[in-house]
Parts: sequence; C-alpha cells; structure tokens
Amino acid sequence: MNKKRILIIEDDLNIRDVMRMALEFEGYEVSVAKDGQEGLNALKESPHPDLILLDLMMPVLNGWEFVEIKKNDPTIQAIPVVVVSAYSEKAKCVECKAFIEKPLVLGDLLEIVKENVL
Amino acid sequence: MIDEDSFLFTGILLLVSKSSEIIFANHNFNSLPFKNSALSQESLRKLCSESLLTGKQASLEINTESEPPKYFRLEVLSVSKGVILVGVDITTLKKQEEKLQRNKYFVERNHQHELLGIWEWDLENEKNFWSESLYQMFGISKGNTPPSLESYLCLLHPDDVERVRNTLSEAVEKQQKISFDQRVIHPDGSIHMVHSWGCPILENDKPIGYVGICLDVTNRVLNDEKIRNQEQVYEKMFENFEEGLWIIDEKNITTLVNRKMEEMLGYLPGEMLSRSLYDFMDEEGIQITEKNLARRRMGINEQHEFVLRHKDGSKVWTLMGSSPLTKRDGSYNGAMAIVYDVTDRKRKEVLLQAQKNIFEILTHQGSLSLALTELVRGIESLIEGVHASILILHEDGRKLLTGAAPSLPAEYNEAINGVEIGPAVGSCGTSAFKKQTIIVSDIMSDPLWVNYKDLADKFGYKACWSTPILDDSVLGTFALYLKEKRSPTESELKLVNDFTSAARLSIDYVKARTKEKKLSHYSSLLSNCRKALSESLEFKKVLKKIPGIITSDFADWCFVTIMTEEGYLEVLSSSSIPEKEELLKELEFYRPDMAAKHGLPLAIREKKAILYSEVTEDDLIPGEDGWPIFGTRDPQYLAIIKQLGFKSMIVAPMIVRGVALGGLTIVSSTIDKRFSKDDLHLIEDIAQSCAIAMDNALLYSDSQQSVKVREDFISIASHELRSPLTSLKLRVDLLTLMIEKEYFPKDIIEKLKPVVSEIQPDLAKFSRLIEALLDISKLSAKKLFLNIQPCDVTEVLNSEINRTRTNSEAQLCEIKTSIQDQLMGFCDPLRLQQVVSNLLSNAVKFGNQKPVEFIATRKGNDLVIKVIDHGIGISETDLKRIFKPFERAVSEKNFGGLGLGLYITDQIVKGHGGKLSATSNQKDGTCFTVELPIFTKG
Repeated sequence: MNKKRILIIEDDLNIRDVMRMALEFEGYEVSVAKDGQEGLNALKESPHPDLILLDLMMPVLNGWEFVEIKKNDPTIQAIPVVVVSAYSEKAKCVECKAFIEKPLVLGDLLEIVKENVL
Repeated sequence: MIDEDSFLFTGILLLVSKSSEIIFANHNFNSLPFKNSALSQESLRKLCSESLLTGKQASLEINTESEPPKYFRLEVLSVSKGVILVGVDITTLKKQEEKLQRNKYFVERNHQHELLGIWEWDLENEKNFWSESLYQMFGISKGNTPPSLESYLCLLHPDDVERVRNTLSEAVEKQQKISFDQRVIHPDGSIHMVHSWGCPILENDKPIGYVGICLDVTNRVLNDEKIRNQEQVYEKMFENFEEGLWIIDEKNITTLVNRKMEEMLGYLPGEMLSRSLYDFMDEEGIQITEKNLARRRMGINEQHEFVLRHKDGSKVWTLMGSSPLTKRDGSYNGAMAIVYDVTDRKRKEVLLQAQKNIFEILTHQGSLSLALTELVRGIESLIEGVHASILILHEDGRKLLTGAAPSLPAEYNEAINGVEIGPAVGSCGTSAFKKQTIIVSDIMSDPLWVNYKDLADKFGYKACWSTPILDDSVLGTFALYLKEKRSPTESELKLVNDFTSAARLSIDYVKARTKEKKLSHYSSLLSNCRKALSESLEFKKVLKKIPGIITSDFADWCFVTIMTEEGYLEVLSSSSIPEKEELLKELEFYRPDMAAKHGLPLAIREKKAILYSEVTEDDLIPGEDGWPIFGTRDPQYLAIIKQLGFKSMIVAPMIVRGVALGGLTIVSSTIDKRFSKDDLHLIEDIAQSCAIAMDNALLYSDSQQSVKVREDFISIASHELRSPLTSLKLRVDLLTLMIEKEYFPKDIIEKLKPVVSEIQPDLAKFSRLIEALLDISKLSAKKLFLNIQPCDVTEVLNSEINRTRTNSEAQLCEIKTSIQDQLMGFCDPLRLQQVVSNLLSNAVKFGNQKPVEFIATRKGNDLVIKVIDHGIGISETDLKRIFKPFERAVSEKNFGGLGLGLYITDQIVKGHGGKLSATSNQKDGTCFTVELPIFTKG
C-alpha cells in the first residue's frame, strides 16, 4: 500500500520538523515548505500530496493568499487543506477541511490528519 | 497891666474893670494866634464889655486856627469890680478824648470836665464873691456858707490851712499874684485837688482886693494819672498783643503799629510808621484795599483775608478784623485793624489741599508724576517766583529721574533727567548723594554747579535749594529754582521740609502700590507658567509656551535653552516685537558657548541666576577676560544681539537635584525697562518651575520607557517562548507515542518511561506561566477580549474544580465546595475557569495544607464566589497591592511564580463588570470574594 503523502507548509522550523517526524512515524510520506510560495512550487511537481497542513502567518506568501491561489488552480484545487494556526477566529474564514489550533496536541494532529487525508 | 506869670493855668484869663479897662490879661490871651475877627482878642474884650452892660454870663468853646488848633472853653462872669473871662485850655482834653475814642477798644472814655470857680476877695469891705461853680467845686451850697476867707480855710485839708493862710498874707503884703494848690475836703469826705490863682486889684497902689479862679484839677490830675496808667496798660497791651495791630489815619498813613505787626512783615521798630498802607501789599492787594477802605469810610467793620508783603517780598497771608475810626463829629478818621498771621495756616491749607488731590490721584491709579505735580504747584503758589522740581532716584540708586517739574523748561528737564548723583552734581545730585539739604544761593559762583551753571544760566536760574526726600534711603530730591540770588528764609525752609515730607509719602505710597501690583503681576505670571508647565508631560511642548507667556507682558525677549548631558539640545524663543521675529529665529540657531565667562553659561556653572540690569552696546565688546557679557563671542551671534538692542537681561539656570537642564534668558530692549532684583527672583522661580517640569517629564518618559521595555519583553518573550514550547510539547508527545508503540527496545523503554512522565507536568506548568504572561501582555495592550456567551456556570465551576483537584499540588489539601445548582449566566467560560483556577491554586498554595472552601451562590444578579483558605494570611499593606502585576504578598523563596495570577483574575473580573476583593488576617487565613454581575445580559 502506497504511503499517503502530506505537505506541511509552516515557517517555524521546529514545528515543521516535529510535525514531519511525527507524521513519518505514523507512516506518512511527508514533504515540507517554509512558506506559501514554496508550497505552491512543491505542488507543481507530481505526485500531489493527499493533504496539506497549512500555517497562516508566514512570510513571502501567507496561508490566506496560498488558499486563494490554490482555489483558482484546477490542478491542485481538490487537495484537502487543514489549517494549523493560533488564530482560531481568523482561521475560520479560510476554506479548509479542518482546523487545528496551536499549541498543537500531537494526538489531535494525528487524528485530524487521519480523518482528512484523501 | 498886670504881668502874667507862669502858673499852671494854661488857659486864657482876662479881667476887665467896670470902666472896660483891662485889669489883667495873661500871656496866653495876648499870644493867642487868633486871626479870625470873630474870635480875636478884640472880640473877647467885646464879649466882656457886653457882659458888663447886661450882667449876662456866657459860656462857649472856641478854637484857634493854628495848626494844631487849640481849644478853649470860655466862661464870662460879672463880678463886683468888673468882668472876668476865663478860657480853659481844653486842647489836651480834646486830644485825650480823641485818643480815648481811638482807644475805645481798651480804655473807657472819660467825659468829665474840669471845674472852674471864680472868686473875688475884698480886702476892705469883706465883700467877697464866690461863683456858683466855686461852691460846686467846694461841694457845698451857697446858702450855708458865706464867701469869706475863714469859711474858705475851713474847707481846706487841715494840713494845708496854715500854708494857705501864710501864702495869702504874704501875697497881700507884697501885692503879688497868688498861685497855689490846696486840698479841699468835700462834705462827703472826698479830697479834691484845687488850684487857686488870683491877682491883686490896686487902688492908689494899694491892693483893695483879689480876683481869681479856682480850678478843680482833681480830674486833670487823676485823668492824667489815669491816662498815663491806661496808656501804659494800653501800650503794654498794644505791644504785647498776640496779633498785629495797625492804625492808619484818614490818608492811609500808618500812625501806629505794634511790634508783632512789624515782626510779621519783617520790619524794625518804627520802620513802618508814617508809611502808606499801600507800601505793604502788591498791585492786586492795593485794588482790594481801595474797596475795603471805601467800606471803612462808610463805617463798616469787617473781617477779611488779605495777603500782605513781607519786607523780603514774600507773601504773608493774614486775616484782618478792620474797624473805621471816627472823629468826634463822626467823620472818618482812619482805621484800625487786628491782623492775624495765617501764613502757616494758609501753607498748611495749600499742603493739605495738595495732599487731598494726591490722594484722589493715587487712589484712582493716577501716576506718581501727576501726584507730585500737585505738590510742585502748591509750593509754587506759596513762594513767589520759584520753580519747583521733584526728582526720583532710580532703583539703581545712582540716577535721578524727573518726577515732576512742570514749570521748568522741557529742555532743562531733559538735560537733568538721568543725571548721576555725586558729591558735586548741582544742588539735587549733591543733595541726594550727601543726604542733606543743599542751598545754593548763587549758582554762577558755586563750585557744585560748575558743570551745570551754563544750563541754569540759559534759563535764568540764579539759585537752587534742594532737599533730599529721605525714607530709609534717598527716594529723590525736592528742589526750588529761583531767578534771584538768595537763600531761603526760615519759614521757606520749613515749608520745603513740609512739602518734602508730603513727597516722601506719595513716593512711598506709589512704591508700595507698585510693589503690590508687581507682586500680583509676578504671581499671575508665575501661575500662568506653572499652569502651562503642568498641561502636558511632553516637556518640549510645554517649555515652548514659556517664552510666549513671559514676553506677553513682562519682557521683550525670552529664550529657553534646553540642555542634555551631551550638550545643548535646543533653544526655544519668543518675542513681543513681531518685526524682529526673524532675527529671533536666527538667534535660536546659535548655541551659547559653555566656556563663556558670562551670561547663561556662567549662570549654569554657578547654578544661580544673574541680573544684568543695564546692557549697552559696549557690553558686546569682549572685556579683560576676553568675553563679552553674553554667553558667546561668535561675531555673527553678537551681531544679531546688537540688532535686537538688548537693554537689560536676566539669565537663570534651570536646575533640579543639582543638575542643570538648561536655562532662561530674559531680555528687555525697551529703553526705560530695566530688570530689578525682584524680577530676578521671579525669573529664578520660573526657571525652577521649568526645571521641575522638565525633570518630571524626563522621569515620566524614563518610567514610560521602562514600562514599555517590560511590556515589550513580556510580549516578545511570551510569543517567542510559545513556539519552542509548542514544538517541545509535540516532541515529548511524540516520544510518549513512540514509547507507547514500543518503538524502542523494551529495556530502553523502561528507562525512558519515568523520565518522560516527569517532563509532562513540568511542561504543563511552563505552559500556564506562558499563558499568564500572554494575558498580561494582552492586558497591557488592552487586547484582552472577553467572549461573553450564555453558559452553565455550575458546570463550568465544577469541572474546573475537578481539574484543579487532579493537579499534583492540590492533591495535598482538601477542597470543600458548596456550589449552587443550575446557575445559568452570561460570561466568558474560559476566563471564568481561569478565575476559579487562579483563586484555587492560590488558596492551595498559601493554604498551609489546611482545607480550602469554595462557595458559589447567586445574590441578585451577582454570582458570588468565595474562596477561603486558613493559611498564612496576608498583611493589610500587602492586601492593597496584591492585585497589581508582579506583586506578591510572600517572599519569592517560599513560593514561585511571577505574581501575575491575582492581577489577571482582577482584570477578568473587572472585564465582566464585577469586583474582586480580599479580607485576611494572619490567624484565620484569607478570603477572596468575587462578585460577577453575570445574571443579567448587559
């Protein structure tokens, strides 16, 4: 069985790293991007991820902008997005599958990823 | 003819025989200067002849036409041997009468006349004759006493009888005339002086008898005596009379003045006599006097004021009581006046009036100059021909400025204004310098006037007397200028002194008024400055207002120089002269040179304000120390100062806690505006206020800065900490997951388990602290928002209590709860949890492991929560500050934490519109009470 692919777009290296480690430990294939732009670049390559974990507050291209671009790109618009942010109120305005509030609880993360991955 | 001899009878005597032959005519009769035919020797002889024929007696008064006239009272009497005509000289009597009339104020008039009796002594037939008047003279009646020698002798004073008898015998024997005095005693006992005179009548060279007269001279003797006495008394009175007495005749010639009158007008005894009344007055007086004398001629008495002239020419104010004098016939005979010297009173009146006017002027805020003019006008009206001048000594104690001198020429005043006092500076400069009256009676020759005599000469001033106006110090001078060379009289000096005193009072009054005004001006200026300074904590903003306030009505220029540790920061300025605004702005560009030996740099170094009362262009030139008096020697800087025209300057450092923060420079460029020591103190006060305001602002800014630094730190720290904490927690969770899923060999897992399990609670505690810090940061930034929603309060409270119970610390002590069921309200449930959690963990922490009570009830609209512990308690002082951030009631050694819990709790409670309070004592522990109005929406 092919491993499910997850793209983490997160500017904080520590969080990105620990998320990657945890998801890999759970058997996912994980790729990372440190901002929205890097995320978009990563999505130009195949195969596409089965889930995107998206931070909102990021330099270069933030989460909200990323979502807007993705929505208008038919090649990637179908990929589900789970927002990971401290800004719960603001995050609610973003079109996404689910929302994980920071600070992250590992159990919650793994459960939501499992529920929403394609 | 019988020769006339000298006897005291000064009248005329004529004896005519029956054959109309003159038996006797005395010398007076012969020498009478009768010119008028009606009254001549001839006419008198005729009178006698007529009497012979008719036997008529006659009595009449005649007067000669001589100058002065002589008066006689004539009696013609027929006797047996002919007719006797006796003319009593009553000239003296007449004069006395006149004199008495004139002196009627003092002497009672005596109307009594002398009695004259006529007798005939017949040696042969004893046919004697005594006239009626003789009987009268002897005080007896005709019937009782025959006219004989013996009865005559009986009437005499016993002491005189012998002498008279002898005299008579001797006279008959020698055929001589008789003339002797005797005393006659009247039946009433009164003694009368009688003079007898008689002449023998011869027949065949043998005397047949005597004819003569007896004169009762008692009245004359007494009258003479009386007049003499009364004259003496009168003279004494006249001379010693307190007021002047002055008598003039009908031609206005002075006939009599007393000593007092002479002294009043400055004349020597007798100098005024025989001089016209008009000699003692001026033209105006003469006109008035002419009218007055016309009334006197009409017999009018009156009292009136009159100005006489002193011998020295000065005015003498008098009050006169004048009466006309009349001759016997009632015609005008001159006038007499009692003269009161009211000069002193008049002067006092003038002075008083001047003082009244001054009072009026000064109480209506009139100028000192106007007030002093009253005094000048006053003294000028009292002393003829003087021009008065009052000079005021400037505050600097050196210069005399014109106070009031309306009569002196403007050019003269201008030349004198600002003259510096000294030991030989005219009369005034010297008088102010020496503090004594300086009398210069001849300006041209006086050494004090060497430098000013030409000026005085130009306007014709010949003398100048100056008196210093003295208080504790010299206030000014009071001077009189004259166009004649002379010294003042004693009374003039006194007058000047009186007026000088009045001037002193006026100056003192104005000084006090000025001071009062100045103080009120100062106080309003100071309070305006302070008000401006307290309006904001931005010191530059408020210091900027100070120059504007100071130049609004105090100085022309004001500069606030702000200094920092690094040097001068900025110069703020203001000017009351808009047209020089640009220069001013240019000046702001320059900075004082801290090395300067004068001006603001010196004031800052010495830490005291400096007054440069008088600044001139010379002060722009560097002095011996190489510096001008300003805080610079930059030629461009000085050039601007020159253009601004500095006249007076104050520099004051702004010092607080020994540190200079800058300084104030206050400048006057108005010619007569010089700063005083009082001004210096005011500016010192303002500078002090500026310094304090600046210091407060700096301190506030420092504290604001440090608060901001702390807040920034908390905000940054909590946010920065949060991210690694999140990843740390994730890693621990991941590690825990790995252990659970036995990712590691079993023996390692066994060793890892206890280590990892201890990490979790530490992380939880760490996490709570970070959350608290974040709340604080939000509170500081006012970003703590409450998410008010309907909620089940009972459930929120219970679940939070349960959660707290699982806390390892809380496990050590019991939590007793009493929570009302079904409490539904509006609140932020998460924040309510936080309140409960904070209060409980606090109670547990300080509860000394004794049970903690948690009570929640509804009271009206309030949810009341009480959290009670029985621990160490909180002191009263600590209770007041435990709700402030970073405050804790206990020492850090015993208990950890940042001391933020109660602060956050208090803020949350307040955010809900509620109240958090605490009561405590160190025996029973502490009770926190929360009152939250959550049972009503809004």
